[in-house]
Amino acid sequence: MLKSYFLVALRTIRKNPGYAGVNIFGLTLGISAFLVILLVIRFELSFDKFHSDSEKIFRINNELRLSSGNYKYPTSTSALAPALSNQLPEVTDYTRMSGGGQQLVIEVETELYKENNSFFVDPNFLEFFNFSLLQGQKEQVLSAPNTVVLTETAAVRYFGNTNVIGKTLKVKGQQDTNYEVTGLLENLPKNTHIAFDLLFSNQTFRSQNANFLNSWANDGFYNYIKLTDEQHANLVTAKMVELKAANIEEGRLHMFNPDLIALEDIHLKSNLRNEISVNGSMDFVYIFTAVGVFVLLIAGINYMNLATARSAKRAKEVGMRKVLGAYRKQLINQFLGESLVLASISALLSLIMVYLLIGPFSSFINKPLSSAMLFEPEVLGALALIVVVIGLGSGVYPALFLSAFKPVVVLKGKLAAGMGGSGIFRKALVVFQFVISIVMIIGTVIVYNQLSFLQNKPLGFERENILMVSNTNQAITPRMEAFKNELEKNPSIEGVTATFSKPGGLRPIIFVKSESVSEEVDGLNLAGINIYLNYLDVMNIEVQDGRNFDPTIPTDSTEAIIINRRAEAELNLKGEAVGKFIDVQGFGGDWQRKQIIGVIDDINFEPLQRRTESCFYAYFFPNFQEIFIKVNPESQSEVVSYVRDKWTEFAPSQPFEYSFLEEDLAAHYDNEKALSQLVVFFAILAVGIACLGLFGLASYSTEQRIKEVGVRKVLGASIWQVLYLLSKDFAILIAIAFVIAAPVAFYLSGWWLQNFAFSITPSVLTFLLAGFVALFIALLTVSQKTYAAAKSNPVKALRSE
Amino acid sequence: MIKLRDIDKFVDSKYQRTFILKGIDLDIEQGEFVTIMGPSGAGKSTLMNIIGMLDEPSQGEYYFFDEPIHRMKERKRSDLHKHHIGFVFQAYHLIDELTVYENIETPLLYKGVKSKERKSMVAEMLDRFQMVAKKDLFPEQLSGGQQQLVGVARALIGEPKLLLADEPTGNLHSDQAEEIMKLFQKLNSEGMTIVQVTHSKENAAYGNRTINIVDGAVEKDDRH
Repeated sequence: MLKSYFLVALRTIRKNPGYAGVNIFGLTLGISAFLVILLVIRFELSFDKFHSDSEKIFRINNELRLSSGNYKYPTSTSALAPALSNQLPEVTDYTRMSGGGQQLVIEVETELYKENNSFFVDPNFLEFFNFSLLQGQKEQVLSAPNTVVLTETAAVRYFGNTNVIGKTLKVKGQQDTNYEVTGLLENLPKNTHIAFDLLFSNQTFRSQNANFLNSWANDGFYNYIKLTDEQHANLVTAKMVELKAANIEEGRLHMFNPDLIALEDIHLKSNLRNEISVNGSMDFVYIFTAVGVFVLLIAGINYMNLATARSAKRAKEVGMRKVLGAYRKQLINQFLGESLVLASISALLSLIMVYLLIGPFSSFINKPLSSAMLFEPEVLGALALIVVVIGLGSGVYPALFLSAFKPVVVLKGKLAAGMGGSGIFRKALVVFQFVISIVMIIGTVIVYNQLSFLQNKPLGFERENILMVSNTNQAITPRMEAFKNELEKNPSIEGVTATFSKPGGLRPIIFVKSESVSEEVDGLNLAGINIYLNYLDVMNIEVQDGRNFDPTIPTDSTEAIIINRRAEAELNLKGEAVGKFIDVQGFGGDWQRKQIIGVIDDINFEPLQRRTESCFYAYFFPNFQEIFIKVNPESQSEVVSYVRDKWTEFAPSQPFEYSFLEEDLAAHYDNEKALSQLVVFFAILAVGIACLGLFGLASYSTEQRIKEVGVRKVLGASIWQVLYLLSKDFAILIAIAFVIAAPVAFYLSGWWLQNFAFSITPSVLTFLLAGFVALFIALLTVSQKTYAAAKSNPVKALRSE
Repeated sequence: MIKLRDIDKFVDSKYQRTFILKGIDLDIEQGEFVTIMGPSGAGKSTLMNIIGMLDEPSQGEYYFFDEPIHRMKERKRSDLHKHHIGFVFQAYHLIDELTVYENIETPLLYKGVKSKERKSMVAEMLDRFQMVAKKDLFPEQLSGGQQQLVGVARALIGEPKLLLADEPTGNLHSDQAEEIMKLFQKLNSEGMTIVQVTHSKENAAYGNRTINIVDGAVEKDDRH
């Protein structure tokens, strides 16, 4: 019996390759898309779960509550974790990382390297987390001062091979420090937020500064603690309040507001400034779960729609089987079996398809997916579930519907036209598909518009053709003026300046005092951007009130500052800031008196997800991380090599590293860019699949009406009239879908745009455009069938009676 | 074997009840070869479908081997018809997706006959109808007469007590028609009860009883 069902199913496919092809192809695409998204989401959700007891590990975040807003950081003081561990039995262990974001220059056998990705860690770090050590004992490798552990990649980079134990590398600085390599780590798994190349033992500090590892003032430590049970997080939070009262001095209370985040949440729910690695986002997971489910739904609906549409054609078979003695249950089984077979074929094809395409796709979306992930039991389980749900879901309707026929009726062929009520059901499904498709089209347009808005919004400063050279180890700082003059000799170089903080980069928070603001405001602060005096000139930043810095006025390099509009407002100095004095706290804690000489607009120093901070620009201390060189675009590459030559001349012992500001800024929107690419990809897929279904349905329904068309043509209808007749129904469905989709898309895009301090306002035009695109694509899809029907010879259609 | 008492079949529309059959009383004994004749729309096919349990009467009693069909549940009725009745249709109604062999085999599948037994039964039937060479062909590859032969073979494979044929030769030309009718006559002589609907007097001549139906009622009942 089963064999008979199977044979009939396969022969049905063979007899109607068009229907079956559309059906299987659409479903295969849908399942493949879903599978890929499933892999991506599983990857995103897997972060840091491989550590043992991962659910019991927490990181301590800290919030600075300042006048300009609250700033949450992933780091806190070095004394905090040890104190918790000492005083609470529920805290079983802790480990700390520091020195993140530092650029080191490392020398190995006279070769110089830049290293951006190293940390100083506690000796137990490798016991606390599960990174696998290939050589060395994890309890010992970091226990002594001046030891370092390398990943394989780092080992190959510095030493050319992984045979590195016992070798020495030198970290350059004011004083060079030698470190002995004591361990070799396997390259880190991709699903961890703790990304590093080198781990130095923080015992190195013990010899230099004993207090460094047990300080309530030093904020730069990533503190991880392990609890006996994750329930105790509240207990720890309460304890931290106690510790704050006991250990933090009066003036710093607003800078110490620690709380916990679960290790497993960091990748998707944290995303603070100074994270160890770029975080993902839960929004991404939500959006893609929805996209995956919807693409699958569209494909499933197609399948269901075509199956029911086609079922009328099989009515005769059903009738005959009944006459031959089939019970209703047997017929139901037959139809369910058939659709399960089709769904299984699709699932199998999807597996093959994803298996083959996972490589290119994973590089397209920049996630490390592998084909091995496909064969994990959960993924295969999900696939089996999809087969069952789609198989049964799409089989159940025709099964029940057809098996209920009275054989007499069916055998007389009365059924074909009379699928009655099911027409509405099918139409509802089509509308639903197009609601999803239109929402995705609108979403695509909005994400794309926002992205290009982010990349092209005037920021208030020059971003094009700015060559940035890293001023490694302050090599140029003492001879900045000479370096600048030397470079400016090249006619293709239009200006040279320097800054401590590049746009979008880290900038210090500087505490200020002003007579215009009452003493009671806690932590009055501005972001302080330390610049070389000609910075505003070179960067084309307009000074709106007052004047720009003037290198010929000696006091400009000691006590002049320029503030932005927001700072002006926060200092209560609207319209009267120029000439006023404020006190600014230096890094040593000393207060320096500065005079405001000018006010600039709120230019977008930070990426556009955030609003502009209150800030000041000043030549504050002689420390510049970046040298900015404005270049004539025509001779870029030539200028780069010129600058490289001069660099080697001025700083022979430092590596030369450069980038372009514009690219650097664009990188802040990598997530959005990835999102927009993915949304475009899946939107096209979704619309494609929906159209496949529409195509199938159109061929079915025009076939159904071929006689009507014949009669109308005999009565004198033109091709256009027939086309209109056949397309009208579909157009109405799309219109209904649009009416439903527009508000949904409006709501969703509003939700997404909230992530940005600066965003576009979606225009009505966008929505209408999406609607018309959907309509156009849909009509184009059905037109092939309707046109053929309209052109057909009416005699032929009528003769078949 | 078949006992119909005061059978009515009607269709209700908004304002009136249209009778297709009215007050049919009919007895058919085992071994008879009955022909039902009558003008188009007289109710021949409806009567046939009721006898074949494909359709239910609106009113009246139907006993099949003294069992009251009109009181049975669908499943029981389905059991009864699949074990005792074979059908032959004017339009053959073979399943297009199945081969000759599989078409003939299908009723056995639904009866739950074991695979081995099925094989020998189908083989025997193919042999009897001289279609062994055609067993792997699909219906569309056969001529009308051949398709109808398959239809008859399929009707007979379940070893029914009653063979119902609704205009079995309506789509065939005369040579093929004659072949089928001779087959029926032979089956009847072997003991099969046959009821056929036809327009053709020639076909009726093969049987031993002719019932004329006009406007839903029995007008004439001749034994010959």
